Amino acid sequence: MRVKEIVILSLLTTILVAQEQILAVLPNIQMTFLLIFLYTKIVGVKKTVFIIAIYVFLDCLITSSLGLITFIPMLIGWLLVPLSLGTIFKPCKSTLSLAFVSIILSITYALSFMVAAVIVSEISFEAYVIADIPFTLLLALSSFLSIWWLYDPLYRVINQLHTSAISS
Amino acid sequence: MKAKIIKIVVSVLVLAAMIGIYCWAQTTPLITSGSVHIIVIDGEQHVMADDVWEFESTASNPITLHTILSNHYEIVVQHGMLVGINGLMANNTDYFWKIWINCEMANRGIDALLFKDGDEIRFVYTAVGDYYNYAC
Repeated sequence: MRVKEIVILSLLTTILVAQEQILAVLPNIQMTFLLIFLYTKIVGVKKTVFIIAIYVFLDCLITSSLGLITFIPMLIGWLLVPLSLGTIFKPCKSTLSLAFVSIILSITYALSFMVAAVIVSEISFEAYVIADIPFTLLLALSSFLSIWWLYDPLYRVINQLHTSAISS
Repeated sequence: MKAKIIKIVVSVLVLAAMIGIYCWAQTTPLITSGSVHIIVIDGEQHVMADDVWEFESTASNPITLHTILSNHYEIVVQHGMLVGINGLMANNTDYFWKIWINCEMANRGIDALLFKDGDEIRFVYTAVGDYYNYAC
């Protein structure tokens, strides 16, 4: 891996962390799915896995939640995105189909937290699901909208940046 | 052109749904009255307070757990999070106030936790990382 590409990957990680912090005031409204979708399609599954690992570590560090109950489900939830995009959702090419995929992955992301909360914290399954419904819906809808509108233009920009980095 | 219009219309509808969901998540539909049993336990499992408080919540004057606590105890709330009760402060780095409602861990804070007549609510001064608590 070239130094220039490492710099690009670190920049992409920084963007991921920064947008999360900027949008933290809005509950579950984020562009993380959009960016991870873009990174997976542009830099590939393997490199996106590294970006996600650093992102999750930094995010937990910033929010003082670097414990197993948050770190592990968050890591699993986000890693499912590039792994599923590289396998079962690989045939999905159009922006609209990717936007619908983001709804499915938003729900799996929320479920990964539910498993940890129910097992470790002994919160009742029913109470957790009911309390989490609005936040899961917000996550799914914000992911859907951000991908539907921003995936194509951002793909062109980031792809151009990445291509010039690895070719020059 | 037609596809663009459909995209805009659907997006506006989705945005409206998101705003609606956000408002729904913020509301506390507690319009009831009765009493709640409040128990406050310190880090050594000593009972600091054990009281039953009456409340009457209406649509125009909704009563939250925050209201009940601030009416009867000296509490400190920072960024919506309970950090102190009657002088015992939790810095949320080493200790925090874990809330139990009817012996089940609460999944909301004092501004949003739903409760009803006869509920027992425990505030337990808990070490961070202590996921198992024998408060109940």
